[in-house]
Amino acid sequence: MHGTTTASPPVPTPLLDVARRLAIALQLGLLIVLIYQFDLVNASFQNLCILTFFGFLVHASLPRQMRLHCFLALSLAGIVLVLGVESLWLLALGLVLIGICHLPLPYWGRLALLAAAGAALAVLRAGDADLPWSSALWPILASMFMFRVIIYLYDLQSEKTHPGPIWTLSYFFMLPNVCFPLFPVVDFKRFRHNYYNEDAGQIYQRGIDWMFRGCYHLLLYRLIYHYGVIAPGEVSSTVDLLRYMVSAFLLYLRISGMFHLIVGMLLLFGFNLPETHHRYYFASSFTDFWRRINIYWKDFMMKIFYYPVYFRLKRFGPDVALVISTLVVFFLTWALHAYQWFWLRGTALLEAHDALFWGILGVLVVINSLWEAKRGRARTLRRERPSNRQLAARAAQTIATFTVICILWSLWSADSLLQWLLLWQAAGPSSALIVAVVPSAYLASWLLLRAPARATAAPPPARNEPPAFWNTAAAHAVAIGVVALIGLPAIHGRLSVSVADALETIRGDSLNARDTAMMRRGYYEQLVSINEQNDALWEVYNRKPKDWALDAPVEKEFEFGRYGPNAQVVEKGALLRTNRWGMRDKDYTKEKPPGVFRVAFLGSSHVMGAGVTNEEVYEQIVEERINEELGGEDAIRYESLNFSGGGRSAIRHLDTLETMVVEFQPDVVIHVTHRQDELMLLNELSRTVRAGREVPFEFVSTILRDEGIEESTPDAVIQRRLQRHVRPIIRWAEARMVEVCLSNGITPLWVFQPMIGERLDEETDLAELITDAEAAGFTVISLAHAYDGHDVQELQLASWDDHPNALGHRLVAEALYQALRERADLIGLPTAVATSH
Amino acid sequence: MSSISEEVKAFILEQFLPGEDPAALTEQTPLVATGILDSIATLQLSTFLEERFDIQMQPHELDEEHIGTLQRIEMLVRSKT
Repeated sequence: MHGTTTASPPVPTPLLDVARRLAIALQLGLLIVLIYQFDLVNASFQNLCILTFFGFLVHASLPRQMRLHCFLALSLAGIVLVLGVESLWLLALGLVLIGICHLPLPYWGRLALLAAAGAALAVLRAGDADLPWSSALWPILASMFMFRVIIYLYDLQSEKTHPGPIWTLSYFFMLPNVCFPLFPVVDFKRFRHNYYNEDAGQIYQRGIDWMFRGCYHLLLYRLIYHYGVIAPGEVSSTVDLLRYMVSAFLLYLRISGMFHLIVGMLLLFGFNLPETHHRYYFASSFTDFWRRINIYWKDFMMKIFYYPVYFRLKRFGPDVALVISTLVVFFLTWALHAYQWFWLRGTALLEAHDALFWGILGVLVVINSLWEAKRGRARTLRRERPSNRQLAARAAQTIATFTVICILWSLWSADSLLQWLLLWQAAGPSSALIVAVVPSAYLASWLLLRAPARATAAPPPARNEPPAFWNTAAAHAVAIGVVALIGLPAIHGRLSVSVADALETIRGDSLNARDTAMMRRGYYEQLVSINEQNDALWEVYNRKPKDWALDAPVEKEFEFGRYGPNAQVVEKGALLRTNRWGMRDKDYTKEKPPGVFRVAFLGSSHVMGAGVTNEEVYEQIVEERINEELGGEDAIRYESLNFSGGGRSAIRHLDTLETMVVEFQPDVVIHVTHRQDELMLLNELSRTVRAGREVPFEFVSTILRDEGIEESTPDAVIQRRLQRHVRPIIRWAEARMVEVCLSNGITPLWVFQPMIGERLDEETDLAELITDAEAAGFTVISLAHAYDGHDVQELQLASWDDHPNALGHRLVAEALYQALRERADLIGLPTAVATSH
Repeated sequence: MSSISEEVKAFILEQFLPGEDPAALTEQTPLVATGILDSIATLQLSTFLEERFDIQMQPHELDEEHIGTLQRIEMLVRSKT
């Protein structure tokens, strides 16, 4: 029985002890290989794992009385390893907070001083003041102190003796907290009392077990994240809705995985802490769910709030005290969640659906608690095989609980209450069955199937004998080794293509398609509150420098030139210059000079060249190369004019073409498109309508009218109503572009440019786009393979910005140049020029 | 087993482990870690201890250190009487 035995643990012989430590070290080494193979958590954690490996060997070899000092030294070394010089600020701020807890003042005085210190730090956290430490320090400092200092002060007050500074420092700065902004709320008393309270080998082996469990939780999370998640806008049936809800809940595997890694690592240093997240997907009631999920949080709330509130209220009767103290716990869970959010992310979190989630869960737990208080809960000390009837009851309860939690979780995960309600509307009337059937099944399972004897729906049965060390160690070593081997490309490359692809996808910590789209859309810049479940995207965005995106006025819909004429600005780390017409380009006369062949580019930020200098933009590279390599003294001069800009979609290209481009008398217009066009069109239309501006095309404004879309319509509603119209609008816009081109003697050319990281097949992935473009009358060029043979990291500006960097632009330029050479006769370039080189 | 432990054991068996073999519940059996004493049962046990032994329990005593086993419960009760 872990963490609870009171008898002294047996002492193995020295030789056996060494052998067991080596067995643990072997498993830990394999685990670290696995963690590296699959790039789990982050690079800092991977480095910390190396420190942990050698630290474990030293720590476990030391006499017991020196081990805590060793753990503290390792913890501090880990902080310095990860934070460098900034670790001094972390330690200094932390020591001030700890010092306040020990001031010779009454309890309430110290509490008030801590609150004042917290308020001062909050002002700094929320403000833009220049501080001697970076913003990355806040989440770590917060995760070490925002809850632990509450527990620490509480224990100082309730305990008669103080354990000493080594325990205190080990508790606050504990390894591996520096890598995890989200960290279990470890109890100070338990941290000390469970220290080596069992046979060390068993504690270490359990640590390995939980770390391995953490790894496969994280790998499962990545599978769900890449292959299970469905965007709210894609939900159009009950099956989609179910997929959306279940995947939202399963994404929590990321948190449970990290918590297992954390707690498992602490066990390797003798802290025999309780299991975290005990089979929470198999909870059979709401109270059971509350007990199983984030056990550390539940224990924290019980200790600091639930029991004290209950004791103050028990004179009103146990039921009243139970109901109120439970509701207080859920209210405070919501409030502390917002508090945690503020410290970790620096913004307030006050969303109706968030409050609704905790409110509903609180009420369900209250009802369940009252039921259990009156009727009792099944418990046993025996290992008994339940009857079929009992199993059926348990299964029904578990399925029903899982379903209700999935529904609630989807509410919590949604961007807004409105977006969540729209999901149900989109899924159709049959989705209401979920609401009707689940509670009924739940009730039926409790009332009809519940076993007469309360002896089976049991907590984990007592294990009086720990599992044999060597059997467990051998099984784990083999299992960890197999997973680590599968992570090797040389091994999984031999598997079927789909399995190999899936393994390759989950080997890295990349964003899925939905989050990549959100990142491109500038999702976080547009939302006051960030979707709290979306940690993957948040982590990527958190790395972004504050001045990455320029604080320039946003280009108004259907007006050209965000930066204005003759501007020079630095955006995304690169100098951006505009000409007198507001184009990001060299200066050109409006009147086409004699002997010049003009090409006009219409595209988005990927063509405008976000994050690279003017000279690095592929449109300019191609222009210069054609003039250098295909031109000559007597040849026609080639000019390419860049009418592209960030966030522009097909209808913007059409508008720019009609109102501006034709005046420059181009010979060819290149309409550059990509697979985000539909999303960009939706965003553009939504922004235009909500800004109260008119869309200057009758075809589009009729659709908006017919769908009842107006200025006050929320974004989520607009996006959903326009979903089915997007492709027809693009078809119409492309046909109209061709019409305008041909009537002005211009050759219309359609160029597909891939996004970084897209692996595309023209015949399948691009079939519809190409068919539509050809039907409209465009000559089609696909650059789908321009980036082939290069890693994403080589080509994108940064992990938080997947615009192509200078190399990416050179590759696109090369692909476009070759395509233009091959099709010179079709696009109007002088044939003699093309064929003479 | 002392009379305090016997009385507490009888209460736990009756309230939380009906039908359980009394021999399976020893002085060292973990009560919190096994889930026998969850939050609701802990409060019910606390009320029982206060009423039966005429003592005043404190919220911070409702943890493994104080009520983790029958033996610890007995020590807690003795320290208050």
